[in-house]
Amino acid sequence: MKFKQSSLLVALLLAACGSDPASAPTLAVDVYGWGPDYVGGVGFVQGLPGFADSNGVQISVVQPLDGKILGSEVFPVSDSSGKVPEVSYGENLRLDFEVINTNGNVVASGASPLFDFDPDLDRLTFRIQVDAVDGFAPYGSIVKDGTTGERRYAQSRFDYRGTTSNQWLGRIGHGAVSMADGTIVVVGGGDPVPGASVTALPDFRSVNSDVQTFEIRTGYFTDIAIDASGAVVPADRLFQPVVWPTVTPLGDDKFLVAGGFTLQGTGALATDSLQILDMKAASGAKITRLQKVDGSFSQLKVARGRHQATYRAVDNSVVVIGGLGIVGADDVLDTFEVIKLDTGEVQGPFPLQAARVEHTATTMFDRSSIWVVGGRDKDGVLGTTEVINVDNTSTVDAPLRQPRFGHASVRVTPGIAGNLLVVVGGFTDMAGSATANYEVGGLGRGSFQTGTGWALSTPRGRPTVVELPTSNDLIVVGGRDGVTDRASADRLKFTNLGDNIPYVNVAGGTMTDARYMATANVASNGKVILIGGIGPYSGEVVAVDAAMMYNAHDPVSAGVQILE
Amino acid sequence: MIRRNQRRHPFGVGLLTLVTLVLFSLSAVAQRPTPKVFMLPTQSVNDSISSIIPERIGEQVREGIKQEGRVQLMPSYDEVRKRLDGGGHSSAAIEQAETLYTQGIGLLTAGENQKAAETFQRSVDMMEQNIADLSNYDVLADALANLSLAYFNAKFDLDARKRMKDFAHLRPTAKLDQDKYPKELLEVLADEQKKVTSAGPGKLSVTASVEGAKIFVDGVAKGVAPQTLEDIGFGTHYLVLRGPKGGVSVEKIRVKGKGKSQDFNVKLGTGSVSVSESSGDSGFYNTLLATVKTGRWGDDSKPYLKELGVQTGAEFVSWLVMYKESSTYVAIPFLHRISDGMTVQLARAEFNIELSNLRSGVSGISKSVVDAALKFPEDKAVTDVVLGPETVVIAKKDPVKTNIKQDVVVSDPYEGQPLQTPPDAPPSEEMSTWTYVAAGGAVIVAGALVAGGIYLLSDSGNSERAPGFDANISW
Repeated sequence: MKFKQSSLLVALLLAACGSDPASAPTLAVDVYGWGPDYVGGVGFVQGLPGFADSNGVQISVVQPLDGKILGSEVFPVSDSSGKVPEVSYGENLRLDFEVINTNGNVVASGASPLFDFDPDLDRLTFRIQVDAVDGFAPYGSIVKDGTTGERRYAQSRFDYRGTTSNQWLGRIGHGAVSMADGTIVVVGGGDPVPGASVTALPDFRSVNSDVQTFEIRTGYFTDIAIDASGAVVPADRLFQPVVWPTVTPLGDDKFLVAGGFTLQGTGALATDSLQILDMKAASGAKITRLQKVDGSFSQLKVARGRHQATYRAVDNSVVVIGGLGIVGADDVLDTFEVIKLDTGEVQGPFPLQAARVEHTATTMFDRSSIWVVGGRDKDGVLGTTEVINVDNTSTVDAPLRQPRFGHASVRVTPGIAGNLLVVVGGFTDMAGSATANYEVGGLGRGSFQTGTGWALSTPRGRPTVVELPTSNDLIVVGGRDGVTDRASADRLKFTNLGDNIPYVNVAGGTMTDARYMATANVASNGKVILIGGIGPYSGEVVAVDAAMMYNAHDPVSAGVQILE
Repeated sequence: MIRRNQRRHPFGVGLLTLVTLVLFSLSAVAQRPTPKVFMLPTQSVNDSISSIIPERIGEQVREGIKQEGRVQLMPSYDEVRKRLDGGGHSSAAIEQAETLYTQGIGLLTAGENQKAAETFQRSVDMMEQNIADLSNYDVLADALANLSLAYFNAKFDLDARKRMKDFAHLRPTAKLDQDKYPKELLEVLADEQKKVTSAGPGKLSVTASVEGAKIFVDGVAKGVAPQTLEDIGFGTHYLVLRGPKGGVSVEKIRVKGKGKSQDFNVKLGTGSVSVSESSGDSGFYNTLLATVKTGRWGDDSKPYLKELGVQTGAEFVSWLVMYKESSTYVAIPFLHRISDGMTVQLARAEFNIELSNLRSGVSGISKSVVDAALKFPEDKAVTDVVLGPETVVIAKKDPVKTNIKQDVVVSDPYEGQPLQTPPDAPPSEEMSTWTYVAAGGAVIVAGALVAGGIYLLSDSGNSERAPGFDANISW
């Protein structure tokens, strides 16, 4: 109903206008937002929220992958609408919407997902959510109350259609990977019993076998096992529920789901399963067990969870590294295995230089060397690193300046360096003390570098870190120090690797409630999507089932135009 | 027709003229009569699909048939009646809109907020669709205010605010009853009226393609074009131009205010598109539509179809019936030949929920209707029809006549979406019975796509493409 009038009006105007040989195809974008409403509160607002001191709106159509701006216009906020005319057709386009204050600063922004617009297309529509820059906001979607029929924006939550009654879908330890079109795929995860120490393997109230997608355009989670009729297709569930598996992108929207813990009683038991998730496959065929050429099922040689895995392009394999074995929190594994995707064969286990869990593993620029950094064993925190070579040997590499586990490692973008790794935060002892420090190392250079000011605003163990595609800034969210969850975010603003401080810490926003161990993905609309994690909810600390986003505002922009 | 900064291409105009002359010559040689086809508005079985889908698909099919050019598509029933009735004012549609407005007041008073909102919305829609014939803008303004209130009471607060802003633009100094309207809406009104006041009027330069065209803004005469209007305030308004020979142009405009210049170059035709006064009983027509909507009909509909043929002069009557089958919209076209009362069922089309296959589906339907009108496929004749979500059960004309009953179980377009059920632990009052409306999103997109499709079809005869696309944003 709410859209009827506008549609009819369009029809009216078109009928009134008749055919117009000069009329251009249209990208139509409506704005909603999270911010100050017009009655003194903060919430979802149809139209533009009342951001303080907002003065102008800059609208740009960009090609973010190429760093191009195809068209840009600026309008007074009071116009309530605007047009960027005759934008060139193209692929992977994005509409950026920036709210500018009287000082010329961008105070809020939103963007469409990536889209293609070719000459055969006549109309394309989006709704975009606009939020304060460097702020957190619930990711909104339109929901309808089944009783009242009321429709409004609400925070996106997991798809509960395939659940039994009273099942809670909040989770940690899930995989969150992006498809080619920007859709985020969430795999498994579990709802932990709170209170476990930092090195303990928590008990779980439930562990999930579902795979859910999160669509950027609508904000909807969808359980992929729900078919068109609304029925559950069991074949599109993981064949056993898992938490802390690895989900490794293989290309063409295929993913390898390896290991993890399944539920035994309330305890977590490592598993050796290997499953292929094919998001392009038909309903009922999306999840299959990895098979060898003789048709038998492939399995890990060592059941493991909380391990690391990374794709090694040079031999089309996935390398699974370290983690915890079937004995539990003290069973830290000192092996790695190689899963050959061409044959389904699992090679190994091969020895690591050290037993590791909560380490990081990153395939470096040569597409074959895998740098394994830090972590802990059953007795203490590791400062060592090692490189897994393509011949499946492992060699020691430069030690960290700060031993740590539960840290994040990001390979600095190839366009900038390619063989550099920035290691951020983490726990520095088995009691859960955390560090704010970051350090940068180059593969084979013999040492990591750090310095005064190479730090986050606050210590963070198990931080969630992503790199922004345009600026190469790092967004660091959440984490914990001791027993205190962090609600804040830091923006490590990339300057230059030759500068005294290569990443300058700029204060980010703060969540209303802290969220610990959420996953983060940079969506195609530029927002950082946080899914799951532990946080307060209705007076309890639980694994949450809703999506939140951080507006890192990473525009393709030549700067803000100033209103005359 | 209103165009801003329109650019004309003399070569293109010349070419168009040449092509027209050639086509005219060819048609004169061919001497083949063109069948006249009347098309009923597309219906969904028992309103099982959100009306926006069948309405817009129906519109596109109409446009598709027009574009085919091989049959003469008759105007809508309202248009036909208006033409028959001659000139006049205050169309039947406006009367109906005012009736709906009155009904809305009653529903609102009775606390039926949801129904009131729907009724007011239909009323406003109809008035806007027939804005050229609206003489009493107070009704529109009052309908907007009440629509806002109904939305608010029904907890569609976002829509409520939008409608109240529209009201503020139309009535920037009006006061509303503080006992009737909630504080929140009154504040929205006050804020928006303040915005109108602070922005001040815009500077609208209105020109027309014919001399002597009268300008009306929100129903108020503003003189004769060309004219610069400097007393139209910020916000949404209705611009109507009436040419001396009956041509009418309407546009809903958004005035920027702050003295900013906006140009409106209006092209008016010479023929009248004025809407005439309603006359006569259209009960048979409404009965026919209601019958089609049930998804079940037979020979007893023939008299209605014949009457329609008599009134419109059509040789054929076509209609499209839609229902939802699983996650697919099914559309089945029918064509009825007036002369012998025979009805044929044509190939069904299926549209996915996102309507991404809209163009091909519409094109197929349009073509099948046109082909059938040119060469009537008697082997596809049907008598009794029962439509359902699983199958379309058709009884062939001869030798068997059946009427297999099948319940129509068609879901609400918003149903079948992820259901948020409240978990026990942790407690979650707010989750309640929320249901995602992915289909709603699809409907939004679909509506836009369909509207876009109108662009497509109306422009599809153009040999030139725009050099790029326009990005239109509203906030």
